[in-house]
Amino acid sequence: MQDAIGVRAPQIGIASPLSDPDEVELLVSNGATEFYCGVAPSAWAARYGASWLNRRSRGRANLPSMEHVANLVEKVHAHGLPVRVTLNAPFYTGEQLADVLALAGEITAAGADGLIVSDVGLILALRERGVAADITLSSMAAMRNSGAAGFFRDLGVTRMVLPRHVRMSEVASLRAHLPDVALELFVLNDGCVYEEGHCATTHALGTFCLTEWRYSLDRRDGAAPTDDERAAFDEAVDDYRRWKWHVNNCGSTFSDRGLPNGPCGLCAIWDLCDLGVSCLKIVGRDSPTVRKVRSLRLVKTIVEQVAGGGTREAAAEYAQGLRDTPELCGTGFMCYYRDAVPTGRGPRSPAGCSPSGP
Amino acid sequence: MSGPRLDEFARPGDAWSRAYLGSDFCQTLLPAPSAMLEAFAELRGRAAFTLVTPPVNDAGLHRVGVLLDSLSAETAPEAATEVVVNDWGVLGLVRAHPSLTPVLGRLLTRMLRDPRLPPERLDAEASSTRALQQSSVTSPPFQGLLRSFGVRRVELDPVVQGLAMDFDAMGLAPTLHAPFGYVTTGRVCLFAAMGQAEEHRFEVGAPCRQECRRFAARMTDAAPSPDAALITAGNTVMQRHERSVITRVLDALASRDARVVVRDAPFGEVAWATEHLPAATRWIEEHVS
Repeated sequence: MQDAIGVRAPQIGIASPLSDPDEVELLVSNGATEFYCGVAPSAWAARYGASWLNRRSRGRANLPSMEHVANLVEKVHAHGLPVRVTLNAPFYTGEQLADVLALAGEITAAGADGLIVSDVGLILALRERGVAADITLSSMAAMRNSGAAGFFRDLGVTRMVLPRHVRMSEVASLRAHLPDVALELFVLNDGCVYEEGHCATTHALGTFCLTEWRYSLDRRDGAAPTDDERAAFDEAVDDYRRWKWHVNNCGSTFSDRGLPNGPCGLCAIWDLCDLGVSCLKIVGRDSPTVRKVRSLRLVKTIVEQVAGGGTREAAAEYAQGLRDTPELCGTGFMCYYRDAVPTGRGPRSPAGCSPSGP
Repeated sequence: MSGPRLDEFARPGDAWSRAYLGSDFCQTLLPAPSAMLEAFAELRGRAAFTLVTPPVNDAGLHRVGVLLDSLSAETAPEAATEVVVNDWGVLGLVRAHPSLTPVLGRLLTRMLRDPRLPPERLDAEASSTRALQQSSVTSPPFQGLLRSFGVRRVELDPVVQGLAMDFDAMGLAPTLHAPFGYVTTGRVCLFAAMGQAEEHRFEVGAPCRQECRRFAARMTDAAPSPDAALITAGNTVMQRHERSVITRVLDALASRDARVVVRDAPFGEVAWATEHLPAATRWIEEHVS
């Protein structure tokens, strides 16, 4: 088994976010093997307002024009690496579809290596119109069973990004049922409180899930909750707030070692290699370059460790040691794949991981 | 727990000719086949039956398959038994059962359901407004796919921005849920944490004691708004809509095949449906402020 891992690990790709052509050199030298980016032409924003072209249209997450896309593609291709472009809004209306298709044609003409898509209507339209784009299914499709994977494969999807909220046992089941489907899995940064593909709110109005809600408990039978029930709920709410803080990149902090805190699947890389996953996805198109670079270094280091052989326990221990944030790893709240963490978690330590942050 | 019982929400009247059973949102709440068949038998000759199914993993897909096998074995084609699908994998399963009619659930009838959208600021004639008032089903390729799977009915929520879709022209029949619309949902559940050991709280797929069948919670913003009307029900945030919003959306449907589904609680796994819109309007007037 471990020999096989050593062989497979170097084959696993590392997909890096990219939001500026000037980042390419630095990200390649730090371990990126492929890239993804977004574009937000001003004409789309002017016409459709809060209905964004892709999931992240705020700030520096996107390139501002097709000229920038073409420039970026050229720079990435100079390194012999691929770049995919996101057109992954949760859905497009019939009126929007013609505009998205035109843009998809321009992206393909600019030489991009594929599109990352969620909307079934767009996938079908791309095929019907003969747009020669390799299609990766976005995590926004919330695909998590072999029946749905077969459905999308039959639509012509060649790779699938699984949702953030998935168990390693579910990844294994998908691989067993559909070994021919290439899978890409989240490995670092930017969690979601809900299932993003099933979230009907828009970040254009702010991040709904990170609102500091107050909760008032009701019993479904109409009776007043008992003191014990209220206490159990209050404890759950306190923990929920702590969990949300971890999901939100631990308040966008870095560790003392300068490594990005937040949602993490480093301990699971051994399993992901073992399962034959094609690519590890680092999140954060809108992150500063330094966060992208440090994220890449982290992932690359663990992949190399796994490739060098050793047990899954040793790989996880190495990952946690590299992070050196036992107070964060110990909660399990940062883990993308909690069921894949082979080492025991330490005691919970609210200090340093409260909603207000360290 | 084996699942919901029909007596959780009494039939509102004779015009309510179809019962819905199940959850759109959580695999844990899939009913046991025995509970589903008990409800189905109880309705026989009195009302039609719709099984509601959530998004699922492979284990859940197997459980749904067992439910569909059981249901189709008991169903005559003229019974018009339906299955609401919120997962493309489940839709594939339903296709293998010709006696069951698939309905596109709310999680696949994608549109913005954000309670924060300010309707007073929307320009009715603008493309940006139409994009907010329409869903994925307005896309012609999407409609073609639905036809190929035998889907003719799609499910919707009330939305504060209103709807602008011509369902008759699309060859689709709309179903409107009232008064509770979903806002967001996921696999991590605040209520499940009440019964879980610390190390499993907020872990996807961790064992769950279904506390959502005993509790719900009203949500208010830290900056209090007078009536946010948001409720956390299990793994889902629901919004209780005002009568004016529901009525406006219902008027906009303007379809000869429109249906209304009502439930008395945001977490309700039993709901009743009618295509007799005056009856629906009467229920809304009596139960929604």
